[in-house]
Amino acid sequence: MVHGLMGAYLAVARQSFRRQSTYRAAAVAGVFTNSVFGMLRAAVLIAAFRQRSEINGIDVDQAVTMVFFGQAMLMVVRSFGWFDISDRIRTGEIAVDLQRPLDVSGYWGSVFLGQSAYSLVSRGVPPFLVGLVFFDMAVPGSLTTWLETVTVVAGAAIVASRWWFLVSLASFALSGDTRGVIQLGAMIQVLASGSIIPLQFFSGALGTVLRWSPFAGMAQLPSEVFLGISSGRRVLATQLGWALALHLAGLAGWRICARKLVVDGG
Amino acid sequence: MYLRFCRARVRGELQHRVAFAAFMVSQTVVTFLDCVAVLAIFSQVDSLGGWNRGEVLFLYSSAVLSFGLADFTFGSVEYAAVTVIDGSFDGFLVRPVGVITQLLGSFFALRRFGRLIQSLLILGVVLAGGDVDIVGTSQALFAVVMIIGGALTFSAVFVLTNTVGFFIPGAREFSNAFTYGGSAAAGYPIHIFSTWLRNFVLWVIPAGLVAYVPALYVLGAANPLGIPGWVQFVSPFAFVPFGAVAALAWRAGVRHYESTGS
Repeated sequence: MVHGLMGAYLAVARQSFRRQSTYRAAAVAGVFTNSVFGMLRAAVLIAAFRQRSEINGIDVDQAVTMVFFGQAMLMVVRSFGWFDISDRIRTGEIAVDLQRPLDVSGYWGSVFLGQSAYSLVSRGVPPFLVGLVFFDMAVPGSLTTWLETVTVVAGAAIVASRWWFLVSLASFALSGDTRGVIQLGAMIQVLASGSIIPLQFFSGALGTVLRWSPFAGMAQLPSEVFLGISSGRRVLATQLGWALALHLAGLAGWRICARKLVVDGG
Repeated sequence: MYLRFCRARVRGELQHRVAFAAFMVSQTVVTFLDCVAVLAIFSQVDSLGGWNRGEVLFLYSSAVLSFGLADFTFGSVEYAAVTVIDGSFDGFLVRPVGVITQLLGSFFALRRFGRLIQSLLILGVVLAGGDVDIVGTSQALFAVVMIIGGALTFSAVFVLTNTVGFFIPGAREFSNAFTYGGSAAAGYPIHIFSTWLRNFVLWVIPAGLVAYVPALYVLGAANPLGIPGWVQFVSPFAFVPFGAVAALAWRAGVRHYESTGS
């Protein structure tokens, strides 16, 4: 039974991966955009590092690596928002999801992770390679670090899937166009995950809060594992802790919302 | 006609007040992220390519203001690709009103005003805080010319890059590198970029022409590229060639469009 259930979730993720892969032109355009943004941000940081050789423990090559790592993670953790569930809530199609013999949060989690996997290959790796071509970056030499990085990138996608499930529930509470709420969530995420600028640039209390937020695990901490600054095991533990907390909050929220759900007939 | 479309859209938007408020706030904050990045950098270093915090923030906020004005009026052209994909573009062609008027009117969104509020706030804080030195009246007047000219140039870029949607409907995001990427790039003293990136930002995205070059005159800031004075004066009028190219490309795009029929 457990095996059958896992198999069903895997099939959902695989389908979602394949569905994403039909949008080839969008992927090419996205790689171009991410690369341009990466280069702009890298150039700005390089200019800042002309003033100081080291900022809160990182040097210029590490900062540039973090920038392109952040660009690579953007779509893996859906930094511009994830609208799949909220669109279905608005249109009422969510009622169909309630009829599936799968847990709703698990079903949509599988969809999310399938999309993340595709985004990593199509939108994540290419801009990173562009960065390698144009800039001096710090790339780890040990196989263990690469394996740890892959693990915490997966961890990042899992935290993000739980976070977006929770945010999507706002569409139950609000009528009308809820993309604004999702965009707000996206903005908090993109800044606090260190994708715009490495969290090393925030010193003091703000820096500490951001480092401990669930968002740090979506780009900043994985990039630190890649650079060998943070331990892979500790980062993974932080990610899984936050994933569990967000998952429980999402489940509680879903239970309340599903009880209030009235589907307009037609 | 355009205004009547807009009024209808605004009435629709205001139907859902909380959602509208969240949208407005998100639009206000979205470009603020780049401002946070600037502030974070200046919390660690005191100059960027020889420009101080006030100068960079002036450049940033005037660029965002130009971009915000363009986005507020011409930003809806983004939806051209969407309507091409879902087929509703047909509807625009059969009505006796210009395609671009209908498109901009039908997707007009008051919430895009958020971007303007944010840039005006930062600009106000920078100017009031005495962080920058705008020495004379002619510099102050030129700052206004620079912002309006920039808005027109960004509008041309919006139209030009979204024309791609007629030829490759899926590549909508391609235009983001130019529009949003442009507004992000315009906020920095571009002499810090490497040569080819700088040339790209100056002449292709033209974000550099929109903000950096005229700001050299307004601020009297460090000019390590040695951009001549006459270029600084002409730069706000970059919208003339860019606008002409955009108009031609748009017309070609509409002509290229073929309905899928049904």
